[in-house]
Amino acid sequence: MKNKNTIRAILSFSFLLFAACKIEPIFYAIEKEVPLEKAVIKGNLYSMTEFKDHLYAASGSLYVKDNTAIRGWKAASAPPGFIIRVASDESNLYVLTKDKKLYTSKDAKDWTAVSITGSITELFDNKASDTAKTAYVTTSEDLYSLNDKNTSKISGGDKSSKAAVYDGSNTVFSNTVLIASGAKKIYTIEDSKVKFGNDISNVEDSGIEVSGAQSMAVYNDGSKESLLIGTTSGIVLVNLDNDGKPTSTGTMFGENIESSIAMLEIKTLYSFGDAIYAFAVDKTTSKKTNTWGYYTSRPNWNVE
Amino acid sequence: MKKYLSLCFCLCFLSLAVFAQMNEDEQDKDAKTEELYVYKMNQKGDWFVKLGGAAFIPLQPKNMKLGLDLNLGFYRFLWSEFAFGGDIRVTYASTVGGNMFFSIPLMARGIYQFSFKDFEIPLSLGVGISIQNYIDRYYFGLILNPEVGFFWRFKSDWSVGAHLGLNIMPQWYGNKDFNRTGYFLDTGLSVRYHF
Repeated sequence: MKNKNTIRAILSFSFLLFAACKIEPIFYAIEKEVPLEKAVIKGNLYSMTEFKDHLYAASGSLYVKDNTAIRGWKAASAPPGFIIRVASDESNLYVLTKDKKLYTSKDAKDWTAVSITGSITELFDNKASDTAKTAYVTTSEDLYSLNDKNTSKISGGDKSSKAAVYDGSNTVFSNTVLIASGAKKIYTIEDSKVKFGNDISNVEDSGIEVSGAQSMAVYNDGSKESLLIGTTSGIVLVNLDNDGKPTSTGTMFGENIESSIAMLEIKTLYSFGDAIYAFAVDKTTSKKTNTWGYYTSRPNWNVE
Repeated sequence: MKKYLSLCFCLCFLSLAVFAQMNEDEQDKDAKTEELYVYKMNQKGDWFVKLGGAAFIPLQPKNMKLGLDLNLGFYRFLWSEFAFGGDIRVTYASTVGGNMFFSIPLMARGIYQFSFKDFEIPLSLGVGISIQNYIDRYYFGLILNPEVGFFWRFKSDWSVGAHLGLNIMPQWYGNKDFNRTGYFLDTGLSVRYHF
């Protein structure tokens, strides 16, 4: 009788253990892993921008690479200070340092300080891909557009703006970084709900909920656009129909996504050309805290 | 007189037969007494405990690096060449993607052991369950572990040696596309204490 009870207890414990486990493929996922590259971009990725066929990344230092290259990052010439933001318009590159100094350069080599009234709080651009591309800076006073060393106050601008996108005809500002623009629609998240519309002031609820959103980008894989949302636990892919309407959540790109960044907090997310760049934070170990990249021509995630 | 001689001959013959039988009985008794005191390295009812460390060498799946295996087992001889018991192991290996694979196998093990002078060669098969972990995932599955060892009994209650084993860990899922079998060699040193 005593033995039977012991066996029952062992079986019950085994069943509970089995039921509580996340039974998902292990060896299969290990097979999909790729050897990790050595990180070039070290530390937090604060922001990225495209400027004259190159990508620039602000990560304490300033890094540059050809915008079509897979990896290939190298340190760029930068003004003194800890670089926390980089932005650009068609002719000028701008960086902001941690001690709130703003610099501009036409060739990413010779830098000139930009003086502006008030204390600078943010630097960003509207991610437009043509002459409409503009950089903006917010101060304790106002929101300004930049043009080389000149600044222009944006009438009615909100000094608490943190990001902007270009919808094809206008620049749309946002008080959060959770804004992205596709070919047909603008996307944002409010109260964990994915919203979309032609105009940021008139967005509708897609019915898709994503919790813990931290960052956002629209990615075009060459055949269709997808909305990518960086969260506290990986990237959520939202499928978009031909009109740009969010339809459902899908499977994130990358054969090794599960073994690389699926469980990490995605603080920063960018898409340029056929590539996606994500700054991921691993709260359990620093080993995976890196800037990761995915390319259509190299369909897996690796360290940048 | 003839009868008398025949009687004497019969008595002598019987006496010889009786003495011969008595002598045989004595010899048997001596032989049985010797058998009781024959020295064997292991006998029925003997226990031993084994503690070891080994390199954990992933053969499949690919993308895994060399790991470590620590093992502890208790076994009892059911007869002088065969022991039965159980062992627990803790193994881990890192992967090329910067992750860790852990497993804790719990196995029942049968050991057939050859002995030669002070050396022992155990051939064993372990069967049990293995709790496996990788990132946030767990698997609770079968493990088979054939193993061969070579031990030197340098003292009556201690032996030391090396072993080579193969861990076979199938993973079965509802979606058969994900089914894989892991093969991991483990080879290392062990020490055994014989009670």
